[in-house]
Amino acid sequence: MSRKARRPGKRREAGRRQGKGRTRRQVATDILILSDGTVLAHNLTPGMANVLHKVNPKDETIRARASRDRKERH
Amino acid sequence: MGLCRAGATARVFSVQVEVGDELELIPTFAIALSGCDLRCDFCLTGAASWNPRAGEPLRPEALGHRAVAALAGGARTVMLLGGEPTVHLPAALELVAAMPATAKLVWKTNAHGSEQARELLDGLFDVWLADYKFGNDTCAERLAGVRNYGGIVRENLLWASQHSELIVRHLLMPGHLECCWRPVAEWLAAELPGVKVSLRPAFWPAWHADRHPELRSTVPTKESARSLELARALGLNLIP
Repeated sequence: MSRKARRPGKRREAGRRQGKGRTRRQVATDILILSDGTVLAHNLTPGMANVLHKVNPKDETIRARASRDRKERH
Repeated sequence: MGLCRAGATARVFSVQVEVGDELELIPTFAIALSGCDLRCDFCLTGAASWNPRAGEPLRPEALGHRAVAALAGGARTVMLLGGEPTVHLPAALELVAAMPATAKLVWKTNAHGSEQARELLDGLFDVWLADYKFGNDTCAERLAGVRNYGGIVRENLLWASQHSELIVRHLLMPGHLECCWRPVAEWLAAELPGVKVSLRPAFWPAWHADRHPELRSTVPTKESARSLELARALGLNLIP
């Protein structure tokens, strides 16, 4: 059975706002910098990917992920 | 109550847009549920994954709203992960129901669930992003505290390959190239030829990794290079 058939139709209004009183959301990335300069990251957020890309623009893994941030809105 | 110690109330310990996963999935709106049925000593999120009471109670409708906003802001997928989301299957199903119908949903799993669990998940997720962590049951029992790991995971991977898109992820562990990566790679080449394989060499010694001498460091560069050579020699379909 397809997902569309099994999932109840609770389509949400695009761009719907949450209440003004909500608390600020926390985002977190864990970073481990090795002695040789290698940077390992977990839960990499778009913002942190951009920061790491600026630190080392030659890192292909980060570059590919930082470029995905261009359309992000935060 | 089993090893996961999960109760009736599912909790969430992280909700955010992330870009650390496979390129074809990111940016992803990642929702991480607390609790897991494995006890991987090297778990990056051990504190929350081993504790199903970590985080905040799951509120599907609110997360549905946030998913809509994230997708509108550029996220390409919505990912449910853990811990291990299977241990909160009823809540996970509620969460799916609250997601936008057109959202591309990713089920990030350790592939260690039961036959009953996977049948309930049939048709709900567009992509299964499944770990195949250990190449033998001895390493699985020593490092993750589970028996009969390999058979269960292989059965789930074969099933998932028939029921959704499948990406198999292997976290390369230092000192485990021959005992874990090689058997995993050889099995994938033989039984799931062409399946997308995500080889992750960025192991880091988190949580209780120091209980195991070989896991007290990152993967040596040479070992990482050899793991890639093996993957290429076997013709695996590696994805970034």
